[in-house]
Order: sequence, then structure tokens, then C-alpha cells
Amino acid sequence: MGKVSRDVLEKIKKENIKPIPKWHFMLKKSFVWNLFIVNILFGSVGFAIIIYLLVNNEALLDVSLVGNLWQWIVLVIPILWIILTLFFFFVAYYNFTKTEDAYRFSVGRKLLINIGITILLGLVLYTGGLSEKLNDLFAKNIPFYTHTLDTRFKIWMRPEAGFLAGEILELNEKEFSIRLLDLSGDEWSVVYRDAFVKGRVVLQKGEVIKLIGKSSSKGRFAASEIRPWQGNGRGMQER
Amino acid sequence: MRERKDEEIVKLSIEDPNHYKYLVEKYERRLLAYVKRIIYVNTEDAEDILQEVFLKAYRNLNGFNTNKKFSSWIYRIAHNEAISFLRKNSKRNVEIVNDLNKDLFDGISSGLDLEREYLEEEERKRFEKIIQSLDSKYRDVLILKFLEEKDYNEISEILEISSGTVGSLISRAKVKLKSLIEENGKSK
Repeated sequence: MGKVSRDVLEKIKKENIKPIPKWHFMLKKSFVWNLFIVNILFGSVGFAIIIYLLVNNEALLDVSLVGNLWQWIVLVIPILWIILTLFFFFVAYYNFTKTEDAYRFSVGRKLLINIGITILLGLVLYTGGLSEKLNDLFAKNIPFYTHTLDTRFKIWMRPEAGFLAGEILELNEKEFSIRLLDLSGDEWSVVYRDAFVKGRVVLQKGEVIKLIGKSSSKGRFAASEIRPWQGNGRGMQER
Repeated sequence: MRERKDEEIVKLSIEDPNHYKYLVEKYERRLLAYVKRIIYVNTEDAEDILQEVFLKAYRNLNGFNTNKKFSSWIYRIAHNEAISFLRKNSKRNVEIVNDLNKDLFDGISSGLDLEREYLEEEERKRFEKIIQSLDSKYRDVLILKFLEEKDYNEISEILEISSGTVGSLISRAKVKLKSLIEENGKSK
């Protein structure tokens, strides 16, 4: 028996050194994996909401709604959601690199695996309708969410440019007028006598709609077109 | 006990530390030589490092995945402890041992098909200096491949890099080594 062997075995006995319990390693391993799962899930949610916001934004393919290319970038691209998604993606990637066998994969492969999972899961969430539900949930529960992260707000809350959106509080079909609560919480009196009403719109109390038209004065709006809040306005016939 | 696989002895050692001595005895000499090769320390320092390696391995026995090779796992611990020792003692005047023995020289040179002239004593000393001047990432893979005779998968587990990276490091190490030898030859 060599010197090192003797010294090691002596020390183990003398200091009563014991192996660290198995549960410690199992806990550590599951903690790392759980962190990875949580972050990849957040990244996928972000990706799903990005798709949802882009697909439901008419301005994505219609620059005329926003004026110029720079405004299009600022108003249409959900930049904050992209930043959030990238943040969670890279945190998930970092978590993945700390798992036991991650070293077997090259950097490129690790990135591809993470991108693949984020996109796949994101698409599943989007096609399952969860991104719309989550977006609504955030809008209802997170202060200033609509103003900052929902790109549709930025486009459709520009009454001075002829774009307005909100919930119908009261409808008068005889006089073609609507009392509307806009997305900022202000009330409007909307006249829609000559408006082009897109087929999918249901004009009833509680419905959220988008309007194109002209703001005649503060609190008064003459609509030339009414669209449903959900959707991108394509493929709909006039009623 | 000596006929049993390492992975079986690990399970027995967790229950009874007396079985651990079979693993320590089996790997003591090999790991001592390995530590001295990768960080060029004297025997005394290498033994101190090795003691820490075996103690750390013992404490972490329950963390060892018995589906993998124990030798790769303990080599990994030895590698990490050696590097850690070097970092802690970089300011201390650690005695660097220019003691690449004949085995190291023969192992690497035969694996690289070097020309006969480099086998002369004087040239061998130059070769030793060249090996030491190599980046540690190249030196580590060369030592594991040509001296420790590990395969790509084992090197991958020891250094925790992908097999692809192991292959490309070995290729680049050979090219680098040959070019350094040629440069050194021209400056004679």
C-alpha cells in the first residue's frame, strides 16, 4: 500500500469522513433540470406571444397604418417581448450547460436543441390558443402591460391619427352611435353611420373593437371602419 | 475484491469504507503520474494533491453515476484538483519539474510520427520545452491520448468536452507541435 493510500484511509477513519448522502445529489440534479424547464417554458411563452401579437397585427403587412418604416419597427415589432424571450432563452441555455451530460454536445448543438424546444413548445402554445389567453391574462393583471408590451395598443390608441380601440359600453343602432371605453380608460362617443363594418364584428355591449376614422374633438370620433379586436383584418367581408 | 469492477467496489465502499482501499490502491500510482505530467510538480506536491483527490472522491461517491466509468470520473477529479492547486499556488514559487520522462517523450513522438533526428538526447530536451510551452488544452489531450491511452469518449468524460472537440484538439495539437518543432529546428 502506497503512502497516499495509507494517509487517505487513515484520515477517513480518524475524521470519520462519510460520503455525502445520495439525496443531496438528486436534489441538486433535479434543481438544475427544473430551472432549465422553467426558463425554457418562459421562453416558449414569450415566443408564442410574439407570434400572437404579430399575426394579430394588421400593421405587420400594412405599413400605411403606421406611416413609415421607422414607426413600423417601433410600433409593430414586439421588441420588449423579444428581449424577454431572449433573456429566458439564454438563462435556459445556461441551465442546460450545467446538467450532467451537457458537455457531450458542442455549443452549436446545445443552442440548436434549446432553439428547437423553444420554437416547438411556443408553436404548441400558440396553436392551442394559450398565447391569446395568456396575453389577455397579463393585460388584465399586470399594470401598464397593454401600454408597454401589447403592440396593438400602440397602433390602435392614436385617435389623433384616426385609430381608436376599446370596449362597447352602450350601443344605439337607430342613431348608429356607440359609447366606447378606450384602452386607456377614457370614454368616447362614436358615430358609425357610414362605417365599413368587417364581417366578424359583433356590435354589442362588452365587445372590444378597433376603429379607423377621425377624431372630431376630444371624446368624439367618427368611424369609417370597424374591425374586431382579435385578428388582423384580412379575409373579412363587409356586412 | 480485485476481480470486481470499479463500479461494484464503489457501491460496497459507500456501505463500508474498508472497501475503498482497493480503489485507492488501484489508482494511486496512475494518478500520481498523471498529476505530475499535467502540472509539472514534484512528488511531494503531487501526493498532497492526490490525497485531496481521493478524499473528494470518497465524499462524492454517492454522486458517481455507476453507468459510467469510474476511471474517467476519478481522472476528472484529479484533473480539476491539479488545476485548482496550480491556481492557488501560482504566486508561490512552486517547483516546476522539467522531468518529462522518456516514456512521455516516446509516447508522444511515436504517436506523431516525428523524424528520427528528434530522438537524440539534445533534441529530446528541446522537445520537452516545446511540450511545456503548448497551451494546456493541447497538452492535456495529448497526455490523455498518448500516455494514459484513453479513447475519445474517456477523454471527453475526463475533460468534460464533446468527442468532436477532443478530435479537433488532438488534430490541432499535432499541427501546433510539428510547427513548433520545425520553428525550433530553424532557430538552432
